[in-house]
Amino acid sequence: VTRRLVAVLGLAVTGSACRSDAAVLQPMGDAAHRAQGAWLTVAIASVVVFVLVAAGVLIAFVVRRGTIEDETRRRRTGERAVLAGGFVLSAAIAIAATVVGAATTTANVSPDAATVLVRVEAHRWWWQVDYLDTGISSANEIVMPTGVPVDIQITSDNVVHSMWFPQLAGRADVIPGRVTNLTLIADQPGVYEGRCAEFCGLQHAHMGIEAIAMSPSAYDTWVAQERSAVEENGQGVVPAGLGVFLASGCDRCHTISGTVADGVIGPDLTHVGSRRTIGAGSLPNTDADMARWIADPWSVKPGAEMPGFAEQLTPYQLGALVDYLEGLR
Amino acid sequence: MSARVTSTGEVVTARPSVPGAWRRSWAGVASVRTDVVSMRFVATSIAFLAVGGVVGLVMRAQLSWPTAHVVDPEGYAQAFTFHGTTMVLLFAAPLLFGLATALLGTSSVSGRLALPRLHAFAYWCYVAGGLVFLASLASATPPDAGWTETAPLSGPVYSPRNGTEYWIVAAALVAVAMVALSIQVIVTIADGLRVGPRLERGSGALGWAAVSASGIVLVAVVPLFAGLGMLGSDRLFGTGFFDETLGGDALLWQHLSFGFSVPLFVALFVLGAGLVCRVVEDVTGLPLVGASWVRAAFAFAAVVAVVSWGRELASSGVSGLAQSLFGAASVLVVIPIAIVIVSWLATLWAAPATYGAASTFVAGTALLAALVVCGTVATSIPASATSIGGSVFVVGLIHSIAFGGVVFPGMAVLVGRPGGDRGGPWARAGALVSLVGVFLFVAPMYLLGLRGAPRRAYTYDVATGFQALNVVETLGAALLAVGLIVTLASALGSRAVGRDEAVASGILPTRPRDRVMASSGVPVLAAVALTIALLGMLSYEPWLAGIGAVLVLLVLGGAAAAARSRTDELVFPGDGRPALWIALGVGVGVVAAFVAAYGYLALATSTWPPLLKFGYPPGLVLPTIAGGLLVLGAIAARAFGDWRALSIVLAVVALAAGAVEVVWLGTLPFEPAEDVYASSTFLLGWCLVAAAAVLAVGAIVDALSPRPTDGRERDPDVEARVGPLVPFATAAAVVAVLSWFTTSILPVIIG
Repeated sequence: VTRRLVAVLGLAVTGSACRSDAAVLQPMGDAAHRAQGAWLTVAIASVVVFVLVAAGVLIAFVVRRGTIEDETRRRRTGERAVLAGGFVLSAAIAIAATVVGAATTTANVSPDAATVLVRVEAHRWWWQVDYLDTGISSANEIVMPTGVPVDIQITSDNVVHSMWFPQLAGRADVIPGRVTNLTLIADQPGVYEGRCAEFCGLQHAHMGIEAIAMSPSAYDTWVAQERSAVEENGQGVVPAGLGVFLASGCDRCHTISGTVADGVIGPDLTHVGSRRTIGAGSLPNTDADMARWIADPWSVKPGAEMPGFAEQLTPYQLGALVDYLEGLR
Repeated sequence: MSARVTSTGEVVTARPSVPGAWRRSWAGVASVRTDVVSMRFVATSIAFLAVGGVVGLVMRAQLSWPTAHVVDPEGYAQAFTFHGTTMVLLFAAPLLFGLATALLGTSSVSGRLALPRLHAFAYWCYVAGGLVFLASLASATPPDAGWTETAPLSGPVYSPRNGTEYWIVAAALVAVAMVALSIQVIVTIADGLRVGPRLERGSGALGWAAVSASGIVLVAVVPLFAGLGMLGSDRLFGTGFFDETLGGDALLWQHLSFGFSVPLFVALFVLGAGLVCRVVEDVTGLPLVGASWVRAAFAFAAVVAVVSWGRELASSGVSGLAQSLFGAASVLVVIPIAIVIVSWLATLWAAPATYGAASTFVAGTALLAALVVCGTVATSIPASATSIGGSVFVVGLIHSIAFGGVVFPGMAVLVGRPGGDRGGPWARAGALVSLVGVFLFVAPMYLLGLRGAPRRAYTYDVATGFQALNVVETLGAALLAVGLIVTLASALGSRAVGRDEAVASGILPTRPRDRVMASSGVPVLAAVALTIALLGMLSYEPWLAGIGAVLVLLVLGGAAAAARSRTDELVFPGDGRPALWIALGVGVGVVAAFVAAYGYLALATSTWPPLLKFGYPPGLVLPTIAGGLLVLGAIAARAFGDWRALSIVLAVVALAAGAVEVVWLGTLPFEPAEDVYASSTFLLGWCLVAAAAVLAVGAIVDALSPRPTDGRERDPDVEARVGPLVPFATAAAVVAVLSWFTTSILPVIIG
């Protein structure tokens, strides 16, 4: 009994210690705020149910049982407990859950007119991001203004994926041949982690995405910057890195707007230097990690479609390529 | 031919031409004594628990450090696929059904189950399924798409190798075993009803749980067989049921897969709870407090189970109304769980007894069941369900169900029986360690899920901070393993002593009261033949499938003929004729599937307009599944041998079909006339109607056939009670057919 008590106490301590890190319970977006009503219901029901059952176990096992004569009386009390604790209380929980469920569902929230439209295509194992209203293309990052609904249309041409930003909204399954809608509204500027939440093959673990929320004015600046960078790409002297890029055949899979590189198999690299991660969250986007990724992607993400270029490129060529890519901002 | 009695009391017919030792060992292997077969289920399932547990510990080791390299990504995917498949299909269901049939057998009037050869057939199908699945490890590429084998990841494009075929065959064989076990339970209890007023001794809670779980399984295997048939045909013939580029739809797999797994988990929980009810009654020596509530709870859970699969689709883009309805259906299951928890605790409290290892497992079951209630509320409310769907939270809920509904109840029975709260200090220590371990194991999963950890991920980054909880989880898993090993060893040690004691006190029968047919080769050979036929179909080897089909026919046909001519020698009254029906049913089913599969190949390449009109032809799957159901129907119809029991099952199936059809089609956000849905519901409805028709024909034939006298008196009260069910069942069937027709056939005709 003591050990059980210790276990229960330990659980409670662990629970409260981890509460501060629980992303799902720290909502930073509209849909996630709605879900807090549901989680409050879950929490109340859980505490009530678990405390009652634990108390019942203690009473049944520890409280000294009486004589045979007591048995009839105890049975009658027990029958009442089955009715009250078993039936009435659980039915109340079921009804409460149903009411809260209907009240908190986010499925029918339709995006209003002033939205940012994003089309996301889930690949194995990265996310292609196209901003339909501004024509910007990117990968594994959704840049969004705060306080404005961002309507995301998600598709897949391969297997089932699921897009999940724990702090912003519930997950949305991505089903081949269907378009799933997910509306995100972020309260505050910040970087919100997201990931694939449906097993989609070997590198399901490395299929991250980030929602980068910024103030509407910063967002407008970002849009302008992205567009002007595209124009700059096409002008001036061809950098050495671009030469390596084209000579190595990188353009067969990747697009860099403003250049002749227009592959569509891999992520669009037009602004790759400004992204926070490489390989859908596999590595931070530093020069060293970019070099490592190009040389041998399978050292961090075995099974990824990108081949390694360690044998094909000299250190000098690799350096030039990394310099060039990291300069694409 | 001379009969003699062996040292264990079995009647063995000696044949001079066969060496005695060989014959004795064959008789041992081919035993159809139902208590022996039930214990084989238990022993085999525990072996699979050990194998699956070791693989689980390997996964725990991999996740105890960020970016660890215990296994590579592929190895991890294979590991969780193996772990899930083993634990759900090869451990949980066989253990619970094995224990339940063992207890039902010994407490039934005749001291055994009603259909011994069907029981052995179920066991050998299960063993064959287990071996086929283990054989997938020897293939170059073991299955790695998760135990739910989500299409299209498990389809020909993304899993183009042969490992998945093994999984399909194994799942089909185990599903056949589960159907046979379910029929066994229902028939044995219906048999008992004919001679006595109670389902079994005591409060009858275990009987109700077993019948409810069996009913759920009979309904849940329909989408499973449909899914296996479609996935197999996608992989073999490129039909593209789950490939949108070929007119299919990946969402269809989710319906079929969850249509099986969600009800199955409820069935497992119900069966485990029924076993705990029996343990509580044994330990306290009292009938269950609130027994009528508990019986009603089990029946209620059976109804809820078959309509709650849709809660898993909350994130699949269904409408808010559908989400709310599915969530409401799903959360109802907390009511029966709460009722049984309170009933156990109240009974333990009411009795003036001291408690040991078995009761400790009962306490653990109650606490885990409380966690299941909490987890079910979280996964039923759409907003919270989608915010942790696909995360480790769900893994926590699944393991709460696994330990609270399967492992702990199983351990309670094993250390508690025979003879009450047995087990020395080691068993108690093991139970306490397991109890501490399971919470250290499960609780971190819920917390990790809330922190955003995705399930089925082979690694995580240091920065996520997931390590601490993972280490606690691994510690809990290790404690759990130690606790369970100690408990099992102790239970095995005390079992030998306990048996004599239990026999002396009348808990176990000294001998089954009927004369016992010691062995029969038919179940073994039939299971082997069925395995060959299935493997042949899925290994691209038509000749192997043909040989398998012919073998099935030969074995069962020969057995049936032999049984007919030797009816007087058969010791189970009426047991001769099922063999004939089984032979006919299996033969027709396999041949139908075989002809359909290869007939389809010819048709698929044709330009026959009706096939093209449907987007993809139902030409393969309809007959295959109808053939499979024909098998089940024929076995069931003949096995029941009683049209009243049959009408109960018909009512359950028809009501479930009606409920599924109405809930499914009424709440889908998609146009029902869309090809894939029209065709799939067409398929489901067609199968159910075919099954009902076959059952009805079997019942009529049976009613017209002369009955072997079994010497049992019928209870006129039972007749009066069961009689009114017939018009009820008929009405339910009519409603089901009508709802199916209006929702899935009409749109096709009109559209």
